[in-house]
Amino acid sequence: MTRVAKHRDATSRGGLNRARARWRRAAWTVLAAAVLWWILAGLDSLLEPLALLAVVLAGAASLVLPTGRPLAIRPRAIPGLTAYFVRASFLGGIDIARRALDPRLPIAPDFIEYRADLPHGPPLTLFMAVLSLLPGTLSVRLEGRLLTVHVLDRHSDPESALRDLEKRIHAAFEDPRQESGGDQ
Amino acid sequence: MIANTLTVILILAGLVFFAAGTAGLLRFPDVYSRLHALTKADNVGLGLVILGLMLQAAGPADILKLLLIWVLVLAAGTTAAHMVAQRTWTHGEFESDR
Amino acid sequence: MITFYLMAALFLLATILLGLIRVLRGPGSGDRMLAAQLFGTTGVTILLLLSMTLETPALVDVALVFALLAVVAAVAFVRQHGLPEPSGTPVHQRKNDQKTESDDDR
Repeated sequence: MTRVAKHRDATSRGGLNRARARWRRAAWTVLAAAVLWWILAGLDSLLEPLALLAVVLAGAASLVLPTGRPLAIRPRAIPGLTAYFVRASFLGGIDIARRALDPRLPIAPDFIEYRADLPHGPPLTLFMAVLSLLPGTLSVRLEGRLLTVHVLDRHSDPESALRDLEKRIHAAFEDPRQESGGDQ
Repeated sequence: MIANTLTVILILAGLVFFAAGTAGLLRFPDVYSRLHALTKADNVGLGLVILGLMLQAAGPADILKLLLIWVLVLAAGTTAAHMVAQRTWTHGEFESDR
Repeated sequence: MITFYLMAALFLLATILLGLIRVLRGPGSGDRMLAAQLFGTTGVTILLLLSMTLETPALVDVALVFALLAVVAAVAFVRQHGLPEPSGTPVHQRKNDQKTESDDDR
């Protein structure tokens, strides 16, 4: 509880700031809705009145609905993180394809336990999702912060790969446990 | 012409990954290992096929649509793999069909 | 080029059929749940290739819907029996997190 209260205090800093954040969120929603409509139905149909109405209503809904906890991801970190994920999942695919097609079937499956130090919520969820795309690891179970991970080859040092991923995700998110406004 | 050649190469590479995923599905000894094979290999296979098809796309909207499909399948794949693994972990590998 | 797309789609169909051997044989129920994923990923790819073969762009939209429904299919498979949640249900976990996180605060 204390953590949430502290966080809210840090983000609001007066009603004006909160209102501005709300409008910014609405603008992003309108943009996202318009781009999505364009992708799905083409530019011509985006210019029809019904489409415009839907896009505007989406933005209005984000003004009216209560704001959830802000997603504390650093926008600058997104390209690097995406590039890392693409590379890691590609390596993961190559690794598994090599093992599956090798006639000797070089795998040594095992379970390991890993204690993640990421805050619950988006960072931990992202960690568990990406984990399953890394070479040779699959998230099985989460209890508190203790993860059970299935590794395909227990000799391949999966721990250091997990540490690396955790460090990257940690760097990409603003940690609410740190002092307020650590980003500025 | 170059685009066509690249498309063929990328799609063929993608097919190799799909074949590897199926090989792993048939050969690996337990459910968890099979999940590894299916999630990772198939997602890379789809990624390569989609890259190949992007070269043939008519406009930016088509390219983004293909990208959207890949991201959705990626998210679905990791989520499903985790849920099946967790279910197998908590309920055991052989549950009775009630 | 169109023949190439068609051959690729047929090849993927063959891999699905081979994968179905695993689904049929099991042995565990988890193996059968893999079917959802197999059809999700490979099915989407086949649809994309077919949309090029048949020159029907609408099939790309079908593939998109497949991709969206893949998650739903997986959830349906995992929750099919309506069994009680094993220990460590979300509620229980949430209680746990708050305890550990407030520990971290101090």
